[in-house]
Amino acid sequence: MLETMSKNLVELVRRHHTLDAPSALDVLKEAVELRGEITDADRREAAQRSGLPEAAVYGVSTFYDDLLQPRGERHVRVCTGTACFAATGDAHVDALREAFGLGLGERAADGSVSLAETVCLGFCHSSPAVRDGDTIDAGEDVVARVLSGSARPAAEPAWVSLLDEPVLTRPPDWSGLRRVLNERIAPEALLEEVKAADVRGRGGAGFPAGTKWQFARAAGGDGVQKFIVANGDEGDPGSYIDKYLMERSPELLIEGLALAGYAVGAAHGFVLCRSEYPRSKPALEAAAERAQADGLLGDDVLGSGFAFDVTIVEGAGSYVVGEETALLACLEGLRGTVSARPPFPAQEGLYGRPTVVNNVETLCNIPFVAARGAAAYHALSPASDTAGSKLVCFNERFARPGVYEVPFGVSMRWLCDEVADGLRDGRAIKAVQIGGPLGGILPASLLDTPFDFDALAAEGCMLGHGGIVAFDDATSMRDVARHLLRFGAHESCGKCFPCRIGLRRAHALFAADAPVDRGRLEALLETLELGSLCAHGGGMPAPIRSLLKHFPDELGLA
Amino acid sequence: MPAVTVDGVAVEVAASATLLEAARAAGRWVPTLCFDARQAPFGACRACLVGVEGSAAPLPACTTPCRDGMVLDTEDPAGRRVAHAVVELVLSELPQAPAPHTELAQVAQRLGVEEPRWPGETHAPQPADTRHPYLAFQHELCISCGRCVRACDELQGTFALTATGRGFEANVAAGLDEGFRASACVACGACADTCPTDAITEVSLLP
Amino acid sequence: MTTTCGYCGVGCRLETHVRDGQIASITPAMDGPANLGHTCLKGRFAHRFARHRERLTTPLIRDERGGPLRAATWDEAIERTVSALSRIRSAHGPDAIAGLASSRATNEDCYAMQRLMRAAIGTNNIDNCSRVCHSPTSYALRRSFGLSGATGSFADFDHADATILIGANPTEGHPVVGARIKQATLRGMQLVTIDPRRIELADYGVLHLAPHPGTNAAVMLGIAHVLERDGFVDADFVAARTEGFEALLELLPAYAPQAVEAISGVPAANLERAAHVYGAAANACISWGLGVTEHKYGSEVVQLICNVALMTGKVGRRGSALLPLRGQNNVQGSSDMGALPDTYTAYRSVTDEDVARSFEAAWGVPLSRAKGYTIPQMFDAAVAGELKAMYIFGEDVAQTDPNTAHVVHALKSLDFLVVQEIFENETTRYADVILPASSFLEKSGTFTNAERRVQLVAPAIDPPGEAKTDFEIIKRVARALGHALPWATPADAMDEIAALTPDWAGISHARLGRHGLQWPVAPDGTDAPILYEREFTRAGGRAHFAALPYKTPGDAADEEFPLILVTGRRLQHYNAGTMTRRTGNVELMDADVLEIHPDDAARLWISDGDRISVRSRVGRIELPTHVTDRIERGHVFTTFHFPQTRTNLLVGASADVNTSCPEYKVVAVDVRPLGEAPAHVPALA
Repeated sequence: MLETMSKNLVELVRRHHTLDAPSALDVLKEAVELRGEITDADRREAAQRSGLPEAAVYGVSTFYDDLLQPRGERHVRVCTGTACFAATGDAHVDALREAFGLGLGERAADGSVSLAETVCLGFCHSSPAVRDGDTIDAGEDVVARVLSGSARPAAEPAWVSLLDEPVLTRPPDWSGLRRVLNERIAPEALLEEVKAADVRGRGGAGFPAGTKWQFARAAGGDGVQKFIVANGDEGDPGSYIDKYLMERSPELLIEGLALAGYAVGAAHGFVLCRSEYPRSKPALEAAAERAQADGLLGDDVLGSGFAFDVTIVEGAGSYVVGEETALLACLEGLRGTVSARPPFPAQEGLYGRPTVVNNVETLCNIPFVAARGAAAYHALSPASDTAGSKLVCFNERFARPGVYEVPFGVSMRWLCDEVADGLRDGRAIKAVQIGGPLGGILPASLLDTPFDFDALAAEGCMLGHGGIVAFDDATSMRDVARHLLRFGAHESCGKCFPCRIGLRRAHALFAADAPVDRGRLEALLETLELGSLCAHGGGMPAPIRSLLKHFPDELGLA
Repeated sequence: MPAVTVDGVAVEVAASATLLEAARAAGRWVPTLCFDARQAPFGACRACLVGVEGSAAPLPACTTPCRDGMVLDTEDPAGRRVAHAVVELVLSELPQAPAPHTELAQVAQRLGVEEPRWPGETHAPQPADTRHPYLAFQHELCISCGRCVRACDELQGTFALTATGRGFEANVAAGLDEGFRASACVACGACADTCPTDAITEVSLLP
Repeated sequence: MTTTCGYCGVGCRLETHVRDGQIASITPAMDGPANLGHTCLKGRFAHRFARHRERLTTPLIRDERGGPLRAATWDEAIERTVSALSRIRSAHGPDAIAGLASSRATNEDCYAMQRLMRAAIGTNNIDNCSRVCHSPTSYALRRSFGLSGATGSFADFDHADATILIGANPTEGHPVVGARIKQATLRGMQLVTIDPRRIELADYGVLHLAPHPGTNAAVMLGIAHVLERDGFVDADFVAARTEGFEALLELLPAYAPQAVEAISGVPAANLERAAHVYGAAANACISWGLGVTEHKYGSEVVQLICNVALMTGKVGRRGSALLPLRGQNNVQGSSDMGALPDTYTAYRSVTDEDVARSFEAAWGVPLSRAKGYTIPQMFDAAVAGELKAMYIFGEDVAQTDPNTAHVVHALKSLDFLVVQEIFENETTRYADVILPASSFLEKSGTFTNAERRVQLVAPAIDPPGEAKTDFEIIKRVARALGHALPWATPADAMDEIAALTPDWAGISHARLGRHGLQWPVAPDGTDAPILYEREFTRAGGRAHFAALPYKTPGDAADEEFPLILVTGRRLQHYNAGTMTRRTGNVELMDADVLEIHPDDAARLWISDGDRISVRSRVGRIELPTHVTDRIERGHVFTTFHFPQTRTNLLVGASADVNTSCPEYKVVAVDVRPLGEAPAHVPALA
């Protein structure tokens, strides 16, 4: 008999959820925000209010970064993501540590200040970035400003669409939802249109959204409650696409959720947004409130009888919570560990109910399909079989970093040289990592590769979430390997053995001063690829294999 | 009732059976560390990968459902390489070799695992926690297989145990990490019965 | 070795691991039908008592009343016992002697004991501790359905869509079954709990009713009323398989939800919902414990429970069973074996000529047709000077029976008391001869669990010192009395039982194997996981509806005694704690504690942990408190695991009208902080 892990805990959470109880994670986060740390009294209170057993609450309190790092009156979070690493080689981190006299995750004895690492703040266009209290500052001189107490909110470049007619960067107008409801298009018909549009998941896996919706629609019996969940846990260092969508076009996401709910038969949507993006939740909540007031959410959307509401939940500092089963666990207030599949969330998801989990950008694609149809959606990328458009983003090394809407099928070279205008200060691209820390690394020599699912996969890379991080000549690839593996090991949820132990061992291979035995490394990579429970451990070998293939001399192999 | 073939032997299994159940029905051994027949499959150890015709990669036997006509190879070379590696990794994180009677030692022996290829940091040894009259924790022996937590959840229903930490620091604790005695534990012993490394064991059986 | 646990009526199968003649560890058997690889801290860990330094290892004789005990040889002890019993029999007749069989002991031990009392002594004065726990269940199930046992198995909880659990706290008293019920609720089984305390399972159920102690009958009649009113009666079933429904129908109008609320305190809407949950379920079980039976009208409440199942047709199929949670490991068996004053094996009356003759033929002696004394009657007769001697094995009546003062008076009034035990206890204080006996880890035989499952018991270690198995001791005494029991082993005794008992015809040790058999067992070995699939075993094959109105309990709160005490068990100890108090379990719970509601505690100026006095109409004790809102206002709860607490001093003579099961669950008491003088001071024991 197959069941998700801790079906009982999920059931206990579900029973209390219907009583409007907070999740244990909500209560623990409150405690950290109020008092800077978590005590056993806080845990007991979380257990009592959430209905989760005390031991389970303890387990939750030891999983999430936000709960583990003690906070002083002044809490400084320094970004150690790949873009910031690419910018400074982590010199900014060292500078802060020395200046404060604190290690990462430490609080001064008098409680006045604390220093923590965070990955990633989404200011990759202006790396390095530091969050001082609630102010996120970024740029070359950010350390100096933070140390002098004059951190200021960093500017964010405007996003640009390179399509003839902007789709994702356009101000949202609810035209998709309005058309579907006003023209009384049946839910099944909308579902068919989304399938015909071949909307592929934008979060990395590229799974067809329509197929996922179909499973969820067919799952469960009559009257079974279903959910749509937007995965706003854009944890990939170097990626800030969903941040832009959630903060600049929250209505577009909400519209996408509502359309998904309509097609699948769900009346509730959730957005899990990262706590590293403190502006996302307020932006989404404000948009939801406005939508409610305008009759675009609620018990009777646009007078159609369709009911849909949205809850925004903030995460607590864990990268792997971007994996869909871990994300659902986080929403339930449990440890963000990955569950074996099957069963898939479309069958048994949030609170054990059929759930569609889609990436934020994926859902933001839906309103266009609903408004203009599948054919128009296909036409957005004439040079590719992949339909729709894609947002990409560039890191600070580029001359014109920012978020851009592009069609599929364009070459990487065009993106790097024309759209982002090459690297700053006349530097040359050594390699780019595309799609996040689990994405392969493309050397400059292969920049003619088209930006598309299959083409990139053929080069051991992935489209992933669309973040493009460039490394220049100043960066050692061994350092890149070490950086990526450190991130991978730190973020491992700890459940499956290959990832839990294997990533730690892989990082140690590159962190040691000794040469790396290639045979042992490759055996470890194979174990991770074949054995890992999810794409975290399973994907971590990809960039390492790229480095082995394209930069073997820099890796210090034995 | 799906019919599958395991190492050339045909077996008929229940509709919801897993590849592991099919293998066992055919009398074939598949290495497991995080599996306990009284609990729902967990999929953590990844030692149970078996070859399935038509699948490029070996599949985890404990969590993959059977479909009619599947052809299994329980000794798929890639699957066994992973099993071997998994056991090596687990042995490498323990500060000392597991006692011969433990399930881990027996699986290692059966797979022919000797020296781990990737030695490194181990769990720090600590004195055994014997505050409870019957149940002892030896935290450094925990391999985070989750069986004790699931026994307390799915068998006993007391929910006194939890996984703790993340990544390599993952471990297990009772209550608010307060030991068995102060937690909700009712001392049914199911955790000690299922632990494959003696991380949880009877106080009276401590070496 | 694989054996069966000797603690509670779940009957976990256990694997005993022995090293150097000692038990190193005990683990659950993966294939145990009742426990499926699980067990609780008692079966798993609480085995050290078997080698505790206080174990009785030699026979002991007290030469004069009130004097010390001295070690003796077996020959001397047996001779002393037999000569005393023979003397008393000659002078006063066989009915001046009574025996008490242990519900902890095996079927074979109990069968041997009742044969000793009936054939060697010549009296039907034999009883066992089911008297004080589930005798009302036995009585009621026989009257309503026909057989004295659960109608199904624990597995029926897994197949039920709903369950009513009344007067039981299985996560503490039957932990493995409690866990099973809990898992079922998490899978969606709708549980309704009925108990004055908010038991742990109430947090997992869909509804909890907290009636005043002693009002269960009103609640069950109320549920029947709503079932009938709202269309849940299975008319076909009632017509085809029952009798007496019309009489019940006449009674029901008086038990509308509002009327029941006035009696029991259960809100009318909750009563209705409970009935609907049960009635609407495709399959539903009802399970109960001593919170139903240990009452003045306990036997009537069980019949009212049967009514509810009968009117909805929820009996006789998988997932719809009536499951009384038998307490002791072999309380079902000790009664099945006829260690009862009015029945032989399988509850066949001592007055039944055919049955009596079959035993006379087998045993070669004439047998009395007169019903013997129940345990309470034994004590009354002792005090009255009519009962002169008792032979008690494996029951500490001075700690566990109600009205301790009266029990002690009775024991002191006897001319001769022989006690067969594993430890000295409250009862052995008054013994003239003490025979050192064996624990469940040291004997072979069978236990019958609450599912009617007869399971093998295999010894892991030998009895210590000169202690012997109960089977051996009883055989010796019987032989010395002139009636040798013709069995070399307990297996032989079981063969005799099977030969003389149609319901046990197919049972033999050889057949029981690893999984046991649920009686009735046909000669070909077919057993009975589900009873009454086609017919009930009452004459005519029909079940009987009992039209019994609610009557007030034997005790009630008043100005002088304003609180109602309920006594019961906790997880870590078993009843008198004879075994568990001599294990590591004492570290986990080391005292009986009185649970009291915060409002009552505040009113009485009591804080959590304070020592207080508890006074009833018949006695007074002192113990510490625990303030908790899991109990209702006006009620208090405690256990009886520690002899020094003497909880049963408080319990009076009120008992079930049909079976004399004491009303442990309704005792009016006065609670006050120590040092505060009460208004009246009754004579203390």
